[in-house]
Amino acid sequence: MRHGIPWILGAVLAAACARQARKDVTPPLATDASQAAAGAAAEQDPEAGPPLSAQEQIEHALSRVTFGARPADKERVSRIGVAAFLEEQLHPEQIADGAVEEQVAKFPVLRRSSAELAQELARYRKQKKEDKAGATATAVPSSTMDADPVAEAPDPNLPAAALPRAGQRDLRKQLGKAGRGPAFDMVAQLAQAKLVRAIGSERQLQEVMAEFWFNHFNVFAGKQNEAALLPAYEQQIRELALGRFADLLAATAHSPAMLVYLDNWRSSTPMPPRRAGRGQPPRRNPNRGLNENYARELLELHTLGVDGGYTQQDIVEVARCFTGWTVAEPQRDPRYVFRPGMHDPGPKRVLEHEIAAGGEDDGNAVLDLLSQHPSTARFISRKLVQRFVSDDPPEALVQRAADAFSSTGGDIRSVLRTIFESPEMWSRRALRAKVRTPLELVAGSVRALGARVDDPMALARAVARIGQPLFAAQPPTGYPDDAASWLSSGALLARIDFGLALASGQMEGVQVDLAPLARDSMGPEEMLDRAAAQLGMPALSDRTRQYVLTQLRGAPLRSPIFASRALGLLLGSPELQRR
Amino acid sequence: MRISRRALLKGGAVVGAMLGGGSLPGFMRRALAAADEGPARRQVLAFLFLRGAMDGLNVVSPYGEPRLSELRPTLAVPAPGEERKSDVGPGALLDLGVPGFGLHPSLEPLLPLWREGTLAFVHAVGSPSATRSHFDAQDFLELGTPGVKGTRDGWMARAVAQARGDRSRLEAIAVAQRLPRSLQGEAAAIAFASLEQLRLRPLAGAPGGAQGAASGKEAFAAVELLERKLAGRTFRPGEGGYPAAQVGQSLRLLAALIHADVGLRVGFAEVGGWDTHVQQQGVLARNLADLAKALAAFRADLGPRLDDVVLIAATEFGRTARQNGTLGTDHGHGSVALVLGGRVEGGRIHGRWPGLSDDELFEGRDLAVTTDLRAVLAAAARAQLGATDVGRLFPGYSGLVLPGLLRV
Repeated sequence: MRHGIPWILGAVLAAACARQARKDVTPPLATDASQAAAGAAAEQDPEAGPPLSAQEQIEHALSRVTFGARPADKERVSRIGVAAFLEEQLHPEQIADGAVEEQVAKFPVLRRSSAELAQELARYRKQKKEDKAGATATAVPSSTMDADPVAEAPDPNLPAAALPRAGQRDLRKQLGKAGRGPAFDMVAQLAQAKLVRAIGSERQLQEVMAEFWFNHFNVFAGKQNEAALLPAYEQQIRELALGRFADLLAATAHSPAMLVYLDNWRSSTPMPPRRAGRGQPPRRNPNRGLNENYARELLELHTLGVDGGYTQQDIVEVARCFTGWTVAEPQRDPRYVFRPGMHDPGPKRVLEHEIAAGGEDDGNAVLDLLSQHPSTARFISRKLVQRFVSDDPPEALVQRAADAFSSTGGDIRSVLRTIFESPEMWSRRALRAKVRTPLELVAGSVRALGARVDDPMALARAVARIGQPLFAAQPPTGYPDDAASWLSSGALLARIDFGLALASGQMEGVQVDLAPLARDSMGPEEMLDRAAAQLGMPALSDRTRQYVLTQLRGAPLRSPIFASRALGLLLGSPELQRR
Repeated sequence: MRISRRALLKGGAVVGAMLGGGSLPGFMRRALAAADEGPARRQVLAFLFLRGAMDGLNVVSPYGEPRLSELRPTLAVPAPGEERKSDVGPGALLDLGVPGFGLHPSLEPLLPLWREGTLAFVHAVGSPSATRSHFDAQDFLELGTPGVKGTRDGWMARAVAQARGDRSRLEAIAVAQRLPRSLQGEAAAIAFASLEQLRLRPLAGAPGGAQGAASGKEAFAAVELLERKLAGRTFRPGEGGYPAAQVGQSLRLLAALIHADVGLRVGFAEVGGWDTHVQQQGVLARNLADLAKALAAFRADLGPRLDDVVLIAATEFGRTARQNGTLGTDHGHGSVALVLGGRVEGGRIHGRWPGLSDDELFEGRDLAVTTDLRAVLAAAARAQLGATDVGRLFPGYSGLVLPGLLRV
């Protein structure tokens, strides 16, 4: 009894803390973490070259935990130190972000409930169906109001003046069922809000991780009515992005978006809930039964990884565990419910564990098993190292990150710290080793130029045109995170085109202030240097310099045309495709 | 200002070299040295990747199997001439003149091709790998090395590297947003989703508003040649009978590239949406209708040029022989491939039928694989490209090159 009071006090304190911010499981990064790691990296791997300089460490840190450095960022990180900056970013709840919240508040889809959005979508689709039926009955030609997106395709022989809206088609075409009507509007608003955050949020690491996890737990907007369910889903992922993996896993497993996208909401025991007839064994109903889709992707993509050591039988057993995890009414009341009548009550065996929980807890037991599994620790850690270090994740670091994952119960912040203090991260080999995804390129370019964004839709279209239409990845694997996938010729051209368009003011609703870069007194070399500095490119390679100057030969040496041209060409240069 | 193409080509080479994204100096040299016009009428190997695992058992359906209706009480399509079972299901299978096998009714536009002998099927085709992961299985197919993920280049890149004849800067093209693994590797392959993607907008204040068409790396030459070759070709919706769906637009672009004699040897296109876990009847019918219309339009568009083309449409694996609990099918094993071309032994179903009894099904649940897809691809690569070194095309593959599929 003597320990009673302190124990209760401790529990109350812990509960209070949990309501605020989650407590740190591991100590903060040492003040000199990046410096020490850079030194260790050069020592362990002398062939990689000298250790990263202080300036390079700052640039590297910004390139990894933000969507790209803004001009003032380097100065600030230099002032507070790399480790303090990283720690700050690891605690988004302590960063004020009012300005960007105000901006995204302009998108009503973020404020409306999933039920409201789903009902709007259902009404629209019902109306369309009725219109269609009516039209067929009276043999009226179909309306041109909602013309097929492909019909809007510009003729390749038309002048390219139509290009400022290029990307709209890429976006619609890739969105399947969400390519038109209110669903398209929902996705478009969500994509714009995502861009606003990627560009303007002070909680950059949280946004980077929100993107990482959304892609990891990808849901395609256009299979059924996911477009209506994604705003809530995306926000939930954002809030959990730096928390515990198990919480993310549980949130996605219960989310109507995932339940609909991977069909689990329909998966059930094949047996009817009541006896078929007196004295007869229950008969299978062919229109009811198991669906393996979610179970397979849960093991392959969300947790263990394809080589994580499971069998086809494990997939079937996991699917049985999740029977009854469903959605009340996807079109009217999209909310997770457990329906005992759909659940398979029989015994199950998953990864050599008996699942004897019963009912809804069968699924919870599987989630526990998976989130604590060493294969999950390795699979998640490998992906994180691939995101923050290089396309070829160094094995030793993956193992250390996985150890941190396991020893902290899947605390994402702790895994990131392990990566952030590793010599592998601060090796010269990791410097600019990643190719920017289209989203990173677009958001990063706007950040570097400090462009004013009044209407982000043109940017969302640009991201689509370069090959990453947001919320439109059809397969559950999401988008790739490696250079080879992003560097096709067409995409490279679209990248160059984006740079030229952004810098020359051809992005509707986006404005770049060229005044500081160009004065009539400046020569071409000086303007180029200024443009490069603005973009955070102190080390402009000779080849790129010559290339841009050659391109600009004959251009009017009058600001701001020269400056915009220089900026545009630099934005499309090899250096800026990397981070 | 008009951006100088020559300078951009150099700049593009810089881009390629620095990004290391598959640019080949050798290729650039060849591209620069090559004559402006490639030799006409090259033999083309085209691959249409049906991503997502197409349900072969409902595409070319073995209605003669007594077990089919037991495995698929709702999903089995009625035999030719039989009544449809419900309002939602498709009509009866189309008669192929092959006892026991019928064609999905949505594929009706393919019947003329079947009858004229330019279209064949290979049934129970697939991979020796047992994986039911889309991601792995697609990689295995594209790399051409089932079970081995570390292969550096794709099978189509290796195929074009073996191609006989003059090289061309436009010998390998993917009509896709991103360069598929099939073409990653040594070939200086080009990927673009549409011609529109290859164009740069006019620069503000440019004299005369001249359109600066330009590029990163080897795409530069491609754009110039494409512009010249495809000038005057308009792409009006509905033209040529191509459906508006993505597969229609992709095949239309592929046909235009073949017609334009740009030097194409291997062409890649892709279409997703085959992962039919739920209520697959409607989805599959729509997908197959688009596919059939696109292939029929492609065939009509090519006209006599079909003699120079072999197109293979295949998927990463098939689906469960049994329907699942949600009127769909889950990930399986063997499926069916379509082969179209002027020299195809058409009007036939190639391969060996494994049967559907419990001990004939793969792992008791899926259509077995009796023909390795690589046997089909190798036959096409040999016929179209003169690629006879199968061991180089498919490292580790010692199986056969499917005989009797193509007239050499």
